[in-house]
Amino acid sequence: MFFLHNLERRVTLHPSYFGRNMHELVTTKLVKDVEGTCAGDYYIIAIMDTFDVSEGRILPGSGLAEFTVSYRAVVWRPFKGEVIDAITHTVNPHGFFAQAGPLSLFVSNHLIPDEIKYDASATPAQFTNNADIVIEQGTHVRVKLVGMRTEVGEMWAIGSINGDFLGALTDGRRGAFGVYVAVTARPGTPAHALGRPGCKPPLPPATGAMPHMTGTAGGW
Amino acid sequence: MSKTIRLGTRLRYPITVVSLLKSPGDKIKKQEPLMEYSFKWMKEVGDKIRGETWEEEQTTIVPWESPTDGELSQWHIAEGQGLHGDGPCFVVKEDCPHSVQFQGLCGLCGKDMTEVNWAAETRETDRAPINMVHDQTNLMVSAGHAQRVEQELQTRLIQSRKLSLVVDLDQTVIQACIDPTVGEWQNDPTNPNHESVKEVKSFQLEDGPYGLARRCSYYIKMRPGLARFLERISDMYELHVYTMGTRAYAQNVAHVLDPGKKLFGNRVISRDENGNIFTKSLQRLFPVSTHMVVIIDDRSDVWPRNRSNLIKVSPYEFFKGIGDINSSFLPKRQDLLTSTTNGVAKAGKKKEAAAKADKADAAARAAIANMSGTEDAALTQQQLEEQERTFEKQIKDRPLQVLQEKLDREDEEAEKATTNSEDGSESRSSSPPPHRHRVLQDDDDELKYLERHLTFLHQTYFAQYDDRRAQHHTLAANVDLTSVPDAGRILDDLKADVLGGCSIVLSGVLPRGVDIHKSEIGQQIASFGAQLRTRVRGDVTHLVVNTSQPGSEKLLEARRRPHIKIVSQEWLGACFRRWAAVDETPYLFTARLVEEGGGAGNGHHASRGGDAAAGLESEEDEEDDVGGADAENRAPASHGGGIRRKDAPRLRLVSASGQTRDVHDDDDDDDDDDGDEEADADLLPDDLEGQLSPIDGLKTFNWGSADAELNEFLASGSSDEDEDEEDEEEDEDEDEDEDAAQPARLPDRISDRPSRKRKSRDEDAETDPGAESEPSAAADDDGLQQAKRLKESPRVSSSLRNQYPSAAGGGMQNGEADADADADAEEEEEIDIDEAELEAMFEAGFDTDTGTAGDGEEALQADEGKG
Repeated sequence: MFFLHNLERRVTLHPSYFGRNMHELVTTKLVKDVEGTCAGDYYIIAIMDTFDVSEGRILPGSGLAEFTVSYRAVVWRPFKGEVIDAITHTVNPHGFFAQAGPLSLFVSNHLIPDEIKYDASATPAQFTNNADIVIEQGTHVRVKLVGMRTEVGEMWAIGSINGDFLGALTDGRRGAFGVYVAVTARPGTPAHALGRPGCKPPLPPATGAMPHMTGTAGGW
Repeated sequence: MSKTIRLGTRLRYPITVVSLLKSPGDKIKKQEPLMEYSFKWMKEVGDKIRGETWEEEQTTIVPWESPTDGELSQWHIAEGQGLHGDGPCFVVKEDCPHSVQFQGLCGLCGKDMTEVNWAAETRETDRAPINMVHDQTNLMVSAGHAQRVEQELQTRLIQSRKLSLVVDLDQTVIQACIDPTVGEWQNDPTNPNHESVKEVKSFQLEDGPYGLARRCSYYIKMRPGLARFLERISDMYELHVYTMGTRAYAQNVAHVLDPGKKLFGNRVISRDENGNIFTKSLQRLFPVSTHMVVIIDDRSDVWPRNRSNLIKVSPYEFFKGIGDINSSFLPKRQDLLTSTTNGVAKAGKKKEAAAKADKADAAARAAIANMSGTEDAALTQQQLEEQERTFEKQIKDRPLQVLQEKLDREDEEAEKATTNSEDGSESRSSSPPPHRHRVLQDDDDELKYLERHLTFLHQTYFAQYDDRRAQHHTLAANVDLTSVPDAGRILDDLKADVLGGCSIVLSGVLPRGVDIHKSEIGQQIASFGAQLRTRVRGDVTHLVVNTSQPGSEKLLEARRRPHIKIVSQEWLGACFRRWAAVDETPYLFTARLVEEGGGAGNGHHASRGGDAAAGLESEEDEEDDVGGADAENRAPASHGGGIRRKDAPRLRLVSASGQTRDVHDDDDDDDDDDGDEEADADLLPDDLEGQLSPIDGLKTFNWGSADAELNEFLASGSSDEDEDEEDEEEDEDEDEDEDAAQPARLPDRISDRPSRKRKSRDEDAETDPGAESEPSAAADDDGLQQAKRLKESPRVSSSLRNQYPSAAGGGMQNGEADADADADAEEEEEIDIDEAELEAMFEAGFDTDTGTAGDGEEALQADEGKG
C-alpha cells in the first residue's frame, strides 16, 4: 500500500559545499541517498518535498556539517494479505518467482491452483492449465501476499494465486477488471527511484488507497 | 502429514507425567502447554553461615509446551507415567510442513522460518536444507519435497524417453577468450586466421571484471559441429548447463549456443549458485537420485562425487594457450594427455603459467582444507582478483597475436631459406604470402565421437529399462520408477570392455611421486577396463610413453619383449575418445634408442648398456615390419646420428622425423644436458674396458691407505718444514734426472711419507674416504700405477720406501735407495724411540746421502713462487 509519510533524516555535507545554496545541496543529497531504498518494512519511492531543514552543526573531528531534514515521501509498504501485481521472471518446478517493483516474491506450487501445472517441456518452462492460462517468464500476475520478511535493505514475500481473480493477467481479465494498467506508463515515479534499475515500478493495488499520513515515522 | 513429536533431550529426566492438557483432536499452537510433568531434584536448605545445611528432595511441576502448530491426533504418553529418557510424546497433524522455503519464509504458509523458539529444539529452517534450483540460491526444499519433485522429473523423462545431460561449457563445448586480437582478426579479411574466427561469437558483460578488463569482449568459439550435436542430443537428453563461470557469463554463453532457449531453457547453473567454487556436484541439481543423469565435462577432478556419471571429453583448445578462462578457481589440471605437438605457445608459457597455477592450486587446496566462513570469503575475493589479473594480462599481452607473429616470423625464415633472397623480400612486402600459417586451427572431431557415445548410452539405458520393466510385469503404459537403471553403472559397464585384456605401464607420463592408481590417467585407464602396472613384466601389453620425455629404463625393458606395444600417450587419448581399443600402429613410439659410435666395434659391448642396445636393434627390426613408413625415415636418421659423434658413445633417441635426443633415466623434468652428463659418466668406462685403461688400476686400488698417508703428511705441520723442503729437493733432483715433470711429484710424496710416519703400522690400513678425492684429482697415469703397486705390498709404509726406486723408474740413484732402505730398517728396529730422535736420525741420513741439497731448495722455492 502506498502512503505519504513524514520522515526525518540527518544529512551530512562536506565543507567544500558550504555556501549559499547549502539547503539545496542538502535536499539533493537527501534525494540521492534515500529514494529507492528499503527502510525497514517499507520502500521509499519518491520524496515529495522537504519541509524543514535544520541549521547545520559542524561535527567535531571531521568538519562535516550535519543537517536534520524533515521530508515528505511516498512510501510503499506491502502488507500481508494485500493483492499486488507483479511480473514473473523465473519459473521452476517448485513454483515461480515474480518481481513487484523492488519486492521479489515467490509463489510456490502449493499456492497455485491445482489445475495449473508445471510444464517443463514447454520452452520456456511454464505453469499452465493447458487452456487459456499460461504463466511463464514475463507474464503479469496478480498475487496475494501471504508472508513477508524483511532484513536490512531487503524484503521478500510469499505470494499466492490461489483465489478468485488472482493469477495470470490475460487481456481478457484485465478487461473484466476494467483497470488496464500499463506498468510502464505509471506517472509520478521515476524509474531510477526504485533502487533496481530496469525494474518496473509497482502498481497500485486494486483496492489501493493512498491515505495521507501526517504522523511521525513509524506511526502508521 | 502426521508427525511424531518427541519430548526432547532438555527435560530433567526422570520425569512423571502429571496431566495431559489436550486431548486428541484438539488444535494446538506453538508454545501452548500440552501437558504437565513433574521431576525431582535436590535442594540445599538450612543455614549456610552456620554450616548447617542439608539437601532436601523437591518435586517441581512444570508445563510442557508444543513445539509446533497443528492438530493433536494421538498421545504416546499417559498420565502418571514415568519417563526415564527422551521418547515419542505425541502425534500431530501439522498445519504446514514448511517444506519449501524462500529466504526464510515458508513457501506454503508464508510464516517467517527464521524465528527461533525455545519450545522447539530444532530450527524451522532446518526442515528445508536442500537447494536444488538452478538459478536461485535462496529457495530451499525439504528432502521429501525434493524426492517428490525428482520423481516427477523422472516420470516425465521416462515418458519422453530422455535422460538428463549436464553440460560443462568451457573447453567442453566452447572455448572462450578475451584477447582483443580475435576481434581484430574478425574484421580483417586478409588475416590468415580470419576464416577461423569468422564464426566466433562475442558479448560483453555488465558485471564483468573491473579495471582494464572491464567491459571487455568475450569471444566464444563453439566446438566444430556443436549446433548439430546439441540439436540431435536434445532429442535424447534434457540438457543442463553447469559451469564455473559467473551467472552472467553462463547466461550469455547459453544464449550464444541456444538463442531460442529451446535446448537449455532456464536450466543453467553457474558458480554463483553452485555454493562451492572448487567442485561441482550433481547432488546440487539432483539431490535424491542421479540414476538418470550423465555429465560431459573436460575435467573430472571437479566432479569428485560423480565420477561414474561423467563422460570425460578431451579439452577443446582452439585459442592456443588460453585454456579455460574460468578455471582460476580450480586446482591445476593434472590430466593433460595431449602432447605438445601443436603447442607453439606452450613451451615457454607453460612454465610461468604453471608457477602461477601452482599458487592458485595451493590456495585452492588450503581452502578445501579449512572451509570456514570468513577465510573462505577472503579467499574467494583473492581468487577473483587473481582472475582479474589473468584477464588483464590476456588483454595486455595478446597471446594470440604474439603467437601469430611468431608463426609469421617462422614462415618468413622458412621462405628465406627456400626462395632466393633477390625477389623474396620484394614479394613479401608487396603482398603477404598466400600460405601464411595460422595459429587457430579448427580440427577438432571430439563431438562426433561424443554423440556416438551418448546415443549408444541412451539406447543401452532404455533397453535395460525395458528389460527390467518387463520383469516387473508392469503395464506398458505405466512408468515404473523402481526399475530405473543407474546411468553411471551402465556407463561404467560400457567403458569397462573397451581396454579389457590390456595391461598398461606408463613411462614419463606422470611426475614421480604420484600414485598412478590415484592419478587422473590411472583412474581413467582403470575405468576403461585395463590393468595398470607399475613395472614392465611379461603380462604387460602396452607401454605408454610420453613422447617428449620417455624414460629409458622402462623403454629398454619393453623393447626386450617383442609383444609389448610401445605407444605414445596419444594412443590412450584416442582410446578414451573413441571408446575403443584403437589400432596402435599410428601411435607406435617410433623413436628408438641407438648407441652411436658403438655400431662399428661390437667387441665394445661388454656391459649392460651394450646388451640393451643389442636387444634394441633386434627389436627395432621387427618393428620396421609393422611401421613401414617409419623405417624409411629411420635408416638415414640413424646413419646421421652415427656419423655425427663418433667418439662419444651414448644412448640417443632417434625419432621418426630424424631428430635425435639423449635419453636419460629420469622420468621427469630434467634438462637434456644433465642427461648427457649422466650418460657419459655411466658409459665411458664400460665401453673402454677391453682396452688397457690408464686408470684401470684405480678400480682395485685401496685409496684408504694412501689417504691416511697423505693426511698424515699434510698434517705434519710446521715442525717438519725443513724436512719438507729437503724432500722437495729430492723431488727436484728426480725431475731433473728423469725428465718427468709434475706428475712424478705425487708418488714421490707418497713414498716419502713413511719417513715422517710416527704411527704404528696397523693404522695405515684404515681408510679415509673423505680425503679420497684429493689424490685421485691429482693422480695421473704413473702415479696411479705406482699407487697400485704400493697397495700390493703388505706393509705399506715400509714398502713404499722399499719400492721407491723402482717406482721412480730407476731415476733415483742407488745410493739414495740404499739410504732409504737403511732408514727404513732403523725405523723398524727402533720403533719405540721417541720422535725427535728418529727425526734427527733421518735427517742425518738424508744429509749425508743427498749431495745437491742447496741447489734443489732454491729451485723449488723459485718454482713455488711462480705457482
